[in-house]
Amino acid sequence: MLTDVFGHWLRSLTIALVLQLCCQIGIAQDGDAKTWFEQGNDAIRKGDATAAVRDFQEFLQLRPESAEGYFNLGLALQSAGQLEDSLTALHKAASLQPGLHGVQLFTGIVSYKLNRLSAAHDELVSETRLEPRNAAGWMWLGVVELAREHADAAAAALDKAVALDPTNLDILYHRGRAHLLISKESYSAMFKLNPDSSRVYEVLGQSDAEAYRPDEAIADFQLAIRAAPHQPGLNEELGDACWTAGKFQEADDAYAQEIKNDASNAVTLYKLGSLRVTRSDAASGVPLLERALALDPTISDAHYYLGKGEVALGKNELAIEHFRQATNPRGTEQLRIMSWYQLAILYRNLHRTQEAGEALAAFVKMKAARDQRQQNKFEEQGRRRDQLPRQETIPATADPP
Amino acid sequence: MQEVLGAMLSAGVLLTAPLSAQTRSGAPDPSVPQESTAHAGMATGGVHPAEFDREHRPITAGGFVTTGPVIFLNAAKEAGLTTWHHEAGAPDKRFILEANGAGVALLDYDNDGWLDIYMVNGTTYDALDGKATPPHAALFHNNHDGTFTNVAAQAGVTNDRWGYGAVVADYDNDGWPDLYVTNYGKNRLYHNNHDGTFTDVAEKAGVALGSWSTGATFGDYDGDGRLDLFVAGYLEYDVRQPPVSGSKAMHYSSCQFRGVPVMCGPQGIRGELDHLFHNNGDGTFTDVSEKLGVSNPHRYYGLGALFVDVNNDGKPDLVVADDSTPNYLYINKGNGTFEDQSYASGFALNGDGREMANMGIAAGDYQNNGHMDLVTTTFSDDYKVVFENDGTGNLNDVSYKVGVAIPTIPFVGFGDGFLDFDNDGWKDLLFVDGHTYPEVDKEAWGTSYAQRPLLFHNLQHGKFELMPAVEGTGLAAVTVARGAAFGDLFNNGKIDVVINNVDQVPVLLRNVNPDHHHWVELKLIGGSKSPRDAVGATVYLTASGMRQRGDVLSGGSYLSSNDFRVHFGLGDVATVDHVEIHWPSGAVEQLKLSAVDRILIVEEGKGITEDPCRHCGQGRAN
Repeated sequence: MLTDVFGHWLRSLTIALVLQLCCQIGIAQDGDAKTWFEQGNDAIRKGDATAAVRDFQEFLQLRPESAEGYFNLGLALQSAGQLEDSLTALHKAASLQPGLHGVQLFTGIVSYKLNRLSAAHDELVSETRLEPRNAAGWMWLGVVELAREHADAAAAALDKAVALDPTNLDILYHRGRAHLLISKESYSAMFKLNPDSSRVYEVLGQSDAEAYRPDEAIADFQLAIRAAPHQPGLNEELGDACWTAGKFQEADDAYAQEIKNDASNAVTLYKLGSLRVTRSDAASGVPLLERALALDPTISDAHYYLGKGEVALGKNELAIEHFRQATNPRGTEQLRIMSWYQLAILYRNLHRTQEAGEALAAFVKMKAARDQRQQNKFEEQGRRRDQLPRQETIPATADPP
Repeated sequence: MQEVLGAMLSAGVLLTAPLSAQTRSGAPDPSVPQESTAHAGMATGGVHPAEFDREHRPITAGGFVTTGPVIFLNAAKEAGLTTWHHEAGAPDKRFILEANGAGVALLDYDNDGWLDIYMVNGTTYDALDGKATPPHAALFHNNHDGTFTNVAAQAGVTNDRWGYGAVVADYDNDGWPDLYVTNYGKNRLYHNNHDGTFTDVAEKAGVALGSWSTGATFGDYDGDGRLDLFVAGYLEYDVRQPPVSGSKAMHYSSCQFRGVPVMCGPQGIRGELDHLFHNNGDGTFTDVSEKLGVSNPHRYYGLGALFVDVNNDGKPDLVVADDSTPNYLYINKGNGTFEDQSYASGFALNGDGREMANMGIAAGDYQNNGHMDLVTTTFSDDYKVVFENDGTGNLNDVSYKVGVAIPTIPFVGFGDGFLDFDNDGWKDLLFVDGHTYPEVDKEAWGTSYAQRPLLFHNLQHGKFELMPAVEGTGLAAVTVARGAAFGDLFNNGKIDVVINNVDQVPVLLRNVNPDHHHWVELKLIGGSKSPRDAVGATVYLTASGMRQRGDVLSGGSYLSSNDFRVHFGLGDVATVDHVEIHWPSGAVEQLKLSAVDRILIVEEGKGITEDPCRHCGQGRAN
């Protein structure tokens, strides 16, 4: 499976290395040898591994001491699926020229493909020591560690890979897998230690919340709280689940309890304040939001609810100030868009026509941009689905109208 | 439990979502309002938690109580309305054409002083192809004894097209109400022949169109004393090539609700144009929609429509409830033109700046401050929106503040209207509901295809209270409701409601509220410079220091048309201090009422010209 995943990637890397070696040694070749070598490179480029193997073998007949020739032969054999022979050729290249760029990487990869995980590991560790800035070496080391079920070591290697090449989808995929395995191992160990611990219920609650099962999440968080009444965060999570389920008073109670447990929890203060403003209790919501912002001024979204609260309290100028701050790019896009709308309505109600028009224009522009993005996303999804085999979408019982 | 944990772990559920900065669990932050995640053709709200009653029925088809106030009884059967039923396509509603249902119009077509009922019908595909007899619309003549007789065939108003809306107006000022019926296909303008029959003159009048029309409303926008006609368009829809999920024209997201395949649309389908027809005064109309900028250039999906004076300048403005797209509010500039104030007014979107799947429009002064407030019905997972009017046309979403938002979220609202059901002098609010997707009955989403109506009692200080659905009463009638029209069907001073249900018989919510409050109703007749039926007139009635407002409106609710008579509840007050009528001509007339608990006829410039006094001696209504 990994071969499939990496097929394209591996071919690209092979071509890149072959071309690199071609440039390094091409000038040094005599006429016939040079021809075979270039023919082999061309064959690799064209994806004709069999021809490449033949050409490099011919080349090595003429230049039997060429490390580059054995390296390229190893790559060609690897592409042709002759892994044992590939490994032999790569080892020969390494013995002829220790430290030849890329040899250990491919020796590790081919060893991994042959399921010789320990050897692959040693080659790739060596490769990463030689080439610590090469993301590919770290990625393959991580892949090998995953195969060895060493999730921690895999995560460490893949974290380094992603730091070097943060846009590589393969690296991101395997890094995610490594961390997923760590989580699974951790949760399994936790469950074995004490299946009734608050942490187990908390994890269950989190999974239910993520899967949009708010009622189940509420029950889990309540059990977690019963097991550990003063554990920070549990009441906040309960509050989130209750709010999501539309149980506003229960959410209010849970957030209030969280704040009792931890008076400096700015996020919970923000949530309780915004909940109360939403529930038309601006008088008690606004001070909570102010406390939240005093503790953590980066919670930009609090300004949106402060704006709504101040409107309800008739403090329009303060509301304008907060809505303006809520349009800050740090805030959630949805609340930023909504803040422009609130500003437009507020200015309009205050008969500040020009400012109302400007705010409305900003709102319409942002909303249109977001709607267009969503439309593009839908269309892209549609295009992808259109590429799938077409299924009958009209129920068989239907009569054409 | 280990199995559960193991299953979650192996499914990767625990770690699939990145941790948000503001939630520990990784679940969506509840303080950030959800964008549309239902990704349905109609839904624009987020996904809300399921709500069930004690018997695990969805709250939309349950939540009943055994005791409580009996306000409405479903008297459809006793009244003879169940001899007819609505029909549209097939019951599984695979196409949006079949799902939108139809409206109701209340009109006194024979001028006998009693309201009759017009029920719009859909049709079937076989009928469209000429292979079957089409379902007929119904015209229920009021027998004055609590029963009705369907006279549609004799009257010539069966329509026999795929009907959606109906609106009443005396467009030719001859003193007899005419009827405009919107269809998928050509619309009908039924001219009243004064003898119990009608003649379709739509083609001759130039208002037939031929696309998919929905809400219609009459209003004299240019003050020439003749009623003009606005017709909302819904979708550009080809019944021969209906939208199918996964086709080139329809991306999948427009054919799903909460991930379940449902009929496609309206999102993903091009919107139909709207039309404003100027009344030429000779029985013909001229389409002026593009010239006046009200043709729906954005191709929104028009449903409910209403001419109503939103900014209190005496000129009818135009509001259009748009499905899944922003609403329109066109302000009448008083010179025969309109200005699009949809966004600036606050009516286009809800208070969060989000468009909704708007269906019906209710207009009324629920605070008795002289301002015309507006209410729109919306889809499930979204609240129904109360727009408070500051009197200048600025509208603010106060749905949460007034207590309407939360109870309405699971419901799909269609018809709506203000009515003072207990005659206490404060306008209450009623929604009729029903989902568009039959598929919801297979899911535990806390909503249902057939739903109950919602009645909100006005508590008189800017708050509404949801009235309980008492078992066996009209508020516990679970139907797939669409159009609803409000009026005093039995001339007893109590407002009743007629509901048109998809593929079902109608519901007649007969008002049996046991109050003994006083009331008065005014039937207005315009003078030579006003429309004869006084559409566009505003009445201010002052009693015991409280000033109420009532307007004569043509259209509104969901594709429906209400009683033109202006109704006022008076509470325990038996005398009216003052009545002020603002006629469409601009004339303002002051009146004194010598008696209440009756229906009075007022002619412009002549005062009270008739007191039928049908209930003299009976005292209060009941």
